[in-house]
Parts: sequence; structure tokens; C-alpha cells
Amino acid sequence: MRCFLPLLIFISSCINHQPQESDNNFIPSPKSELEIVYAKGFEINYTANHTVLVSKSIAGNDYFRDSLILQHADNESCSAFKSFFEMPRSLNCQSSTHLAYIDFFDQLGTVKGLCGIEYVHPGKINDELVINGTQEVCLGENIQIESVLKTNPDLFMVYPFAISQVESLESNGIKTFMIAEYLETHPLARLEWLKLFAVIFEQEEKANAYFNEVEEEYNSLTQMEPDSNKKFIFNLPYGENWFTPSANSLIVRLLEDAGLYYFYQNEVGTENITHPQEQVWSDGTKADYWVIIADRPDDFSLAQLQEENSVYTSFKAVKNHQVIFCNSRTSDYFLTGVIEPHLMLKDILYATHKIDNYTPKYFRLLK
Amino acid sequence: MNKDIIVLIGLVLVVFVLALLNLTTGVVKIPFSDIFDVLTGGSVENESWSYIIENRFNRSIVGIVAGGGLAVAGLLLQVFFRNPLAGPGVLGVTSGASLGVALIILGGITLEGIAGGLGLFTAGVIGAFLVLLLLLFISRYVKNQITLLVVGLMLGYFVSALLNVLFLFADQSETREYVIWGLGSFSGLKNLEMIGFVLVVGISSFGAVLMAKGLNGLALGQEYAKSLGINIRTLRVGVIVVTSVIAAIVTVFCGPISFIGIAVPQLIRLISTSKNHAFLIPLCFVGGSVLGISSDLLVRLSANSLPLNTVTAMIGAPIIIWTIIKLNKSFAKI
Repeated sequence: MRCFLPLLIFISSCINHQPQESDNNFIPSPKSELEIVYAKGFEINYTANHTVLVSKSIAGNDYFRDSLILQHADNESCSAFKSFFEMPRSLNCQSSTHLAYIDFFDQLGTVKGLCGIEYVHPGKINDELVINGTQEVCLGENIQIESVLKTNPDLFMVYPFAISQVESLESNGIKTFMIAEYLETHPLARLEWLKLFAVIFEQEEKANAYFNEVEEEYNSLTQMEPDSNKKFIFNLPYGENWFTPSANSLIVRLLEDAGLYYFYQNEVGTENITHPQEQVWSDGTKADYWVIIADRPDDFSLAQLQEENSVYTSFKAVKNHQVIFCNSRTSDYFLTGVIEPHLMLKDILYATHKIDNYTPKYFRLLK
Repeated sequence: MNKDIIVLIGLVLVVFVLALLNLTTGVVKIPFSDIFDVLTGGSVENESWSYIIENRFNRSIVGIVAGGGLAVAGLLLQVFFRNPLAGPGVLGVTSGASLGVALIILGGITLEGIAGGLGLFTAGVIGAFLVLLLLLFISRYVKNQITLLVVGLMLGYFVSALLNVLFLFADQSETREYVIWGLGSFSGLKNLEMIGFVLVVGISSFGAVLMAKGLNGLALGQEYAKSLGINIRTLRVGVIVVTSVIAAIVTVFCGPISFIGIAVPQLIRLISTSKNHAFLIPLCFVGGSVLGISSDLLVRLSANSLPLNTVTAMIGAPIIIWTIIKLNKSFAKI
């Protein structure tokens, strides 16, 4: 027995869980280097021997920092756990939002596993996932290690708030990378995460061209100053509380760029703000616009909204037919919306009568 | 008896004061004159205030009636099973009602479409009724009080497991609705629903008072009750119907509210000198009302950050522990 234990420790320390990687072929150096303008949550660092992708927390959030090393030549970093000699071509994603970026590069076929497949509503992306045989790898919000191992991804793109699950994945030899595009505070910053995916899929030029095009259009549409005569409230209640975005959140920025003024502008913080329903009921009588993103039937109407709670009939926005609605059941707000901030801005401008002759894609006025 | 009447009057006054506080306290400060105006059919400056006051009023009434009903249901079950730890929550009756509700919200059963708003209530009653019937069937073979209580607990766990399975396979919007319901709330009932709720719980509680003679006999033992000419079978049906209906309607409209059903009868037995259920039942109802309305007031004072279930547990659990130690030292030794 005394001999057995050291022997067991010796054997287990020799078991290599990592696939043997080739040391002959390296990732070619990028043809063009990308510049990050708006995004604060990631960096792309170029050196002669490797490209390093870094994702990091933004001020005010819990601290995290993660990196991927893409090797262009042999050097001392080759032994790092998250270094790649070949581009990862088999992915798992914890968020369906990542699919928008991946689909932009026509790389949905690389997605072998996804958390919450059922929440990807019918459409082009869903069809491709079905054809590709993408597997569900989560049960509720928990990553199922066995399911992940079955899909054997080169890389698992994860949220930064599930650190213990990430550690568990990595202890099983799964390389992970934290994607926190939702922490950005500007719609163009979230779009800019496209550049990070561009590096992985070696399509930097395509990403750059699209980003520049959207940036130009978005900035040309942006209104100079939010109009304090166009105050808006946001969302629907959850139980007896309303969870509204903080004043410096991405969606509030989008609406401010359309010239609207957030009713809870003076409330600080980076997380959602909780308001008791009585407070919002009272504020609703003063707010000019009410912006709602919710899962509702296809032809959801203003009358149906009022049926949900008769107090809504007292809201100024309801009386003036100024409820701006995005149906997350029928629109791709949480998918393609991420890479089309200019269209969302146009939708809001159309709803607030700033532009004409336009067919909205995500937001519409409830009638 | 005189002391008991004073206790009853005192509790009624406490309920009245708490209801008044619930009506006048809140995040939105509304002058008392405006509250009075709204309640007497007048109008106020801010249109939303009338909805706020209506909501405060309705939830106060629902809190009073739901708390009272659960306490009465708890008392009936404690007498019937001759077990001070019996109650709609412990014996799985609430879980049964929850299962009925979950089958509609999560399971896609379209009973609501068939029977309108009554669908949820019907499903809740059926669920509660089935669990109670099963428990009574098992009680034929299991005579020991503690064992029967454990069986009730196991039934509750089994039903909870079924609920978890339904939850896993439900879609996002359904689970969201179910989670909100599961936190418990006395809020959200419209005027007509509130009136229906009050009528159903009120009639059921009155039905319990009509069974007082049988319950008085049963409290002394089943054989003694039989010797008094009490029809145990009829009494059994009465207890099942009353407790199922109360547990179901409260669970359907307010969510699975725990602890009131066990804690209040215990506390009332400690305060009251009377053994007559014709008096104990109203006393329990008012006691439950105090716990119900004070729980809702605490929820609102916390700006809705504390769910109702958490508050009733925080108040109810210490009462139960205290009464167990005080009343029955044999329980404390277990």
C-alpha cells in the first residue's frame, strides 16, 4: 500500500489530457491589423510571433481578464494553455448572441455546441444550427461538461460571470475565452466585437469594411443632444418590480442617440436598477415614450398591452400612442440586432417621426 | 372565554390598523385625503394614484383573507390528523395545488382556454384534492402521526420533483411566469377576482365553523367522536373539501404561501383558553389575517425586494420552533 500511493500519483501526473499539437504549422500572420475605436472590453495585440486576443472587464464591473494566443511562429509562449497553432475551427458558445458575429463570417458550421438552442427562434440561423447538428450543452444556466466533451470544441466562448464553470471546463482540457460584449456602453462598441471574431476567422478586411460602413451611417443619424421633452421609460415589470437599465447602458445610449431622454438619467450604477411598481406607475404618467423589448404574440397590439394591466391606460405614452416595441419572439434583436445598431437607431428615429419612408426591422410603434 | 373575546377584538383591531398602514404607506406618497377620495369614488390629481390605491386596497383584502383562510385550513388539518405539525404546506396539499397550476402554466394544458379564468383554480383544486385523498388513503395503513407527517412531506417532495421536470421542459416565457408566481404575492387581483376570492375563502371558512362540533369531538379522539354520534366519514369529506378549496384558491392567486397554515393555529392554541372550534376557527382566521397583512406590509416596506414567501417563512418558522419547544417537548427531543 505504501508503494502503491506514490505510484498512483506518478501515473496520474503523467496522463496528458491535451491533444498533441503540431509544432510545424503555425497560423499565418494577419494581412491587416485591426484598430479598436469604441470597444473597451477587448484588445488585439500584434507581435511578430503571435496575435493576442484579450478580453477584460470594463470599469465598474467585477474584474476579469482573459487571453488567447494565436501563434505565428515558434516561441516561448507555445506552451501556454490557451495558445493556438491552428485557428480554432470547432466552437461552443454560451450565448446565442455570439452567433450573430459568427454568422456574419458565414462560420455557423463551426458551432458544435450552444447553450439555449431552444431560444434561437426559427429563421436562417436556427435552420443552419439544425443542419449542422449543433448540440445543446447546457441544462438551464449550467454548462454540462459531458455534453461539451462530446462536442470536443477547440474553444468554448463563455460569459465572465460563470467563473467556477469555466474552471471546471479548463480542468477538463477545454480551452475557454470570455466574451463580454454586453458590458459595452455604446452600440458601436458592441458591434466592434466583430473585429475580435474576425481575427479568429481570419476575415479582418470584411469586418473592417462593414464596421466602417455602419459606423458612418450610425454617426450620421445620431442626434446632437437628448431632448428633455422626450423622456422615456423602459421595460415591463418582473413580478412587483421593474428592472430598468442603468443610465450608462448600451440600450439607453442607443435611445439617447435617437434624441430621447432617459427618465432615470440621474440614477447611477452599471447594473440594472430596481424600481417598485408604484414608482414606475406614477412616473409612467409623465414619460413621453415607453420602450419595451419583450416576448409577445406576433400581432401584439396597444390594446393587448393595456389588457395586461389597466394602470397602463394612465401612461402618457399609451395615451399618445408612443409605445415603441420590439418583439423578441419575432425579431432577431438578440442576434442580428447586435451587429445592426444603425438599423435599430433608424427604427427609433422612424418611431419618433424623425425620418420617413422607412420599413423598421426591430422596433415599431404599438398600434 | 372573556379573555378570548378580548384577544379576538384585539386581533381585529390589529388587522384594521395594519390594513390602514398598508393603504397609506408606499414608495409613492399619496395624501390621506386623496386616498379617501379614491376609496369613496372621487378623482385625484395623478391618474396613476387611483390604480396605486386600488392595488394597495385589493392586496390588503387579499392578504387578510388569504392569511385567515390558510390558518383555518391548517387548524382543520391539525385536528383531523391529530398532528400539530400538519398544514397545507407540510402535507403536500399546497404542492398539489402548485402542480395543477404548473400543468397549466408550464405543461401547456389548455384547461384555461376551456374554462376561462376558472381553469387555473380548477386545476389547483384538483391537484390539492388528489394529494389530500392520497394522504387519507395512506392514513388507513399508517396510524403513527409522525410517520404520516413524513409521508405527507415525501408526497410534497414527489410533487415538487414533478414540478421541476415540467420546469425544465417549459419555454422561457412560461418559466418566467411560473417563477414570479412561485415567489408569492397578494398583489395583482382585479376587483372581480378579489370579490370571488373573498367569497370562496369566506364560504369555505364558514363551512369550517359548521364542522366545529365534529372537530371538538375529533380533538378528543376518533373513537370518542364516534361515541358522540359524529359521522367521521362526512367530517372527513368536509375537511378535504374545505382545506382543498382554500389551499387551492390561495395557491392559485397568491402562489405557494408557506408557514401561515402551521404557525397560526399553534399560536392561537397558546393564547386561547377555549377548546371550542366554533370559537377557535374565527380566532385562527383573524390570527392568520394579522400574519398575512403584516407580511404584505413588510414586503412593501422592503420596496418589494423581499418576496412574500420569504417574509412568511421568516415570521412563521420561529413561531413554529418556539411552539414546538413550548407545547411538546417530545418533538424537541427528536
